[in-house]
Amino acid sequence: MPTTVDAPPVDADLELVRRAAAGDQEAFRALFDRHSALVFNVAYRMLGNRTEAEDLLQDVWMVVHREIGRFRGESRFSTWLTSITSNRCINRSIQVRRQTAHLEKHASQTRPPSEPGESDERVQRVLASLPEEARLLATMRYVTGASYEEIAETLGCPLGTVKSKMYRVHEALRKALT
Amino acid sequence: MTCDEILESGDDAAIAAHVAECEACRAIRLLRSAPWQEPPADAWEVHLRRRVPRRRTWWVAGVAAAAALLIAVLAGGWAMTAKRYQPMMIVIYDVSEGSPFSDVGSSE
Repeated sequence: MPTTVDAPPVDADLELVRRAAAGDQEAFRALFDRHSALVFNVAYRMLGNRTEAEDLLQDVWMVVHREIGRFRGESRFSTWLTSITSNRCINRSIQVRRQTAHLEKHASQTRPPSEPGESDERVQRVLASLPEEARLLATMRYVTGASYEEIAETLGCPLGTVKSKMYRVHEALRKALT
Repeated sequence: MTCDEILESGDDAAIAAHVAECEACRAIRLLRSAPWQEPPADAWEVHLRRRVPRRRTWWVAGVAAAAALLIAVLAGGWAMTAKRYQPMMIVIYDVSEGSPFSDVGSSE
């Protein structure tokens, strides 16, 4: 099982969101402390690079700050946050894929030396072999431990669609190790 | 049963038998064992704290307005009593010469 952090209490999140929407910076900071690991891990597994993930972490939280007044509490805050993160990850991932070989080489050179161990390298290799959507689904399901229902809510699609997409993810994973 | 259902069944023998044959499950187990990454410790202090504005506190605006009003009153009071500015602010006329407004309305 992944070493994920425990999900913070939902009610406490709602109270923090309410205060943050009213301009309370401390409440916003508390939300950041509770959920930044989730955002960072999704970004890191999607982009495969700590530097990119750190940039995306900032971007996501600036979006959250700008849009937090629109969050109505109809879903969990973490679901809303993952939805923002996944959209930005997919966009960024497509950009990265389109970059030149020189930029990709540069990105690998700027990666901090303390980064991945062998098993982490294998995880990243498997994820990198998947198309963007499959990588996102695999990250949400297996790295962050989200349920099918949570994934459906995050992506805004029916549960049946998620299940059929996950079947295709399994097929892609089957090929990833062979 | 799907791979997920088998892996979550808790049946170790079934899981072992399935994983031995299923490449997808080996990949899933690998992903599930992925170490949780810690976000940079200085992410908030370095990058976000200054970009996230603090709450506009109405009492600050209230205190500022009250201070401005007090300064205006004091300045006005001082100007009213200062000899230098008195001629500019109060029309003083000599009663013996009559009211400067006495001719108002006269045709001559």
